[in-house]
Amino acid sequence: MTTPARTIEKSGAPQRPGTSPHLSWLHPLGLISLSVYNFVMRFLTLGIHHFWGKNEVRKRIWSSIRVEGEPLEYTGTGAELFRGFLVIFGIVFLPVMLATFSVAVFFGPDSGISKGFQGGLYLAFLLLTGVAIYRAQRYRLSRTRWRGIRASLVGSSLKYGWTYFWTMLLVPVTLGWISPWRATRLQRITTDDMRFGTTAFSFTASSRPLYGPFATFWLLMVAFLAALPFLVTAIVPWPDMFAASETGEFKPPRPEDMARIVVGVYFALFLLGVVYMILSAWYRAAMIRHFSRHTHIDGLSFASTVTPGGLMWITVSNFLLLVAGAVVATATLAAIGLFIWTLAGAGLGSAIGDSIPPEQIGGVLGVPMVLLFFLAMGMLLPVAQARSTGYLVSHLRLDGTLDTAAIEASAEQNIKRGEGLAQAFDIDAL
Amino acid sequence: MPYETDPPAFDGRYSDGKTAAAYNVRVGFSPRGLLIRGHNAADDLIWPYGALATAEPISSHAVDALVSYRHQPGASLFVPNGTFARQLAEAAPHLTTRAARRRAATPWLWTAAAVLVLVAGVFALQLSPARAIAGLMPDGLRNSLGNQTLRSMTSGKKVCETPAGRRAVENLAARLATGVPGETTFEITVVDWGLINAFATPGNKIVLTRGLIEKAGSADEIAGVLAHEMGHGIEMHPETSIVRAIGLSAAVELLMGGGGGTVGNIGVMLAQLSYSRQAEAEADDVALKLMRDAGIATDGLTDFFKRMNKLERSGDGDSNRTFDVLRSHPQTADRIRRISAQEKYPSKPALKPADWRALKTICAVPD
Repeated sequence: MTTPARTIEKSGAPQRPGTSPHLSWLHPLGLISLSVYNFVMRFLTLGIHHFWGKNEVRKRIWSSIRVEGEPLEYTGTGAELFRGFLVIFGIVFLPVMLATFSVAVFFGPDSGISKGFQGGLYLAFLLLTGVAIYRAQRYRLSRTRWRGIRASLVGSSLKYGWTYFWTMLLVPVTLGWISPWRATRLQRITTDDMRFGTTAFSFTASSRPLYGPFATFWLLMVAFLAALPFLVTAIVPWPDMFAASETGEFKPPRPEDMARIVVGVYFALFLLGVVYMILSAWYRAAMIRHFSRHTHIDGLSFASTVTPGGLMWITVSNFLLLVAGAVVATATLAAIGLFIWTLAGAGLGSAIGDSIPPEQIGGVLGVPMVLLFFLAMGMLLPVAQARSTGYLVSHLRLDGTLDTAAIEASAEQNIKRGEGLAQAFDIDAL
Repeated sequence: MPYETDPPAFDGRYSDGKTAAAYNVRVGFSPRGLLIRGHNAADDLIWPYGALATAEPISSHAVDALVSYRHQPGASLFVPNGTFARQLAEAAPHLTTRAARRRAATPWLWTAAAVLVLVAGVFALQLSPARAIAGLMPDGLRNSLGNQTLRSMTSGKKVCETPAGRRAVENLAARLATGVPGETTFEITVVDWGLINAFATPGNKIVLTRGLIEKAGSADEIAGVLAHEMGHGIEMHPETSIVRAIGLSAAVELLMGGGGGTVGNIGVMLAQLSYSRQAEAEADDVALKLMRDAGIATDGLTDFFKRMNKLERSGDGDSNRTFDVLRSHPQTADRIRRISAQEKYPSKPALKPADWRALKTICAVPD
């Protein structure tokens, strides 16, 4: 039943050539039910559904971004994501796990060889991270279309990976001051490599205007870090465990002290996260606005109007949303569990009662509940992602004109891809 | 559904996939497929329903549809109309969310069911794949594993060693080993550690703590505990739990789509914290056999369990409550009952009084 592929070119009038296109966000409906569906299916398929769920979420989010009222199209598949994961698992995770284990067993975890191996592994991962970031972006862009024209990333992932690597090594050496320069450099590589059809994007930003906001952020952060130990010990009473060590023998902390230490450490990390989020909002907003202003394609430039307050609100509200989702999911599953327990009645009860003393049942059930809560934190992630993307897109404007008729599909666009070896490593696994 | 061809009812925009330009078109449903009309009806395009795809599956709240056609790659048709989307879903049911989800989920639901059945089968038949793999480990690997475990568990603690004490330990081990099949030898270390504890590591290495020896009422009690740990060693429980931990963390990583990280590690750690009830019972069985072959009374072992029971109940001793919650030892009363049910046999004390005194003071600092 095939119809000859005729075109309609001659019969329809082109729509406003050389227009100033309008960018908009049409918030997707039904995301909460999709989130719940994905969460449940992940359990039912022992985790494998993750990749298909993620893919459907991407399709929804891409479709919500409208240029001239027409949606972006995401053409990736769950099977591609899954295959990418298997490749990474097989050629990276598994060998690394076995090698680390073997080295630790044969040379001892504290031996020089073991430490050298760990260090080398860390460096290799750092190098691979940059390569992976670039390749994941290339994968996503190559699966993004607008009006049937595909986007792409045409450069070398090794070049990006190498820049990512050596500039990362300089981050601690420069006490972070390389960061604005680094971010600009990495963004330039990516943007300059980006194509929409055959038309190239270009990036003209320098890092200089970012140093003002960065300096403010850096100074406030250092001041906060200096105050952090005092804040934590003032709020979480710290056990005087270190006094004991002066007598000669170091005593391991008692369990009740241990709990306090754990609470203290988590509290400090939480505080650090919140304060980092607040202080970095100005810098992040400045960076997004700066980078947008200096990104061009054809006669178009981007202009972002994101604000620190807006970014902060999105981050905080998304976090609260995830927690609320996790609370509801955990409570619901606990209620279902309780219901089944009650229905099954004495049989199940006595079977469990035999193996676990009554006073320990709380502890035994508590552990899976905590694990479940952490898993459920990811349940509403699609909603959070859509909100973040929506915020960025609805605060992004396109200035200038775009001659859509001059934007052509690239030559390799319609070649069937996805089978070559090089393609196999364009992976968007994690 | 009622097909209408003339005139096509919906406004749409068509792109040919060669450039990013778009053309205004009218779109309608014909019996043969989606009808796309530009200026002239003579140039109508027909896209058969079966070869259509949409950018996202059509859900009940769709407000528009972005359609492509398999035989005209790159070309796309956008119709910003919810009614169109619903009619399209009727004409081409494979485009709905429900159909897309069924296609994606069905094979994996079956796979998951098959895996669960397999796992249930392994449990029901009491097969232990981890035990089988542990049995394949070469001795060199078992020894290295044991040395590393020993080093990490006793790090920072002194090894207790006096010539007389060492002789006592060796004598006891040799006596218990008479019932051990084959050439298996055990390496026993006493560490200066107040905790009442004993454990076996891979490679038939056993650690006894000062706390255990000091609190023991007789050499027979130590013999019982040592026999129990030898039982773990003979049954290769330490090796098995390491294989199981590695397998579990790989499985968790796989299940969590690579994001297993922390959650996975917590789970794996909990899973390997203790031996299963079955493993403890197996070790008890071996211990009873070793003690019978050595002619050592099992009363010592029951005494030891009774005292541990009392210590745990009173919340005294160095037992760590956090770990108790997760411990899967068989109920102590059960174990006492099983051991007491053994037939009595002629027995001699595990150690001569002089040896027992030497063992008791193996951790004492020499004057």
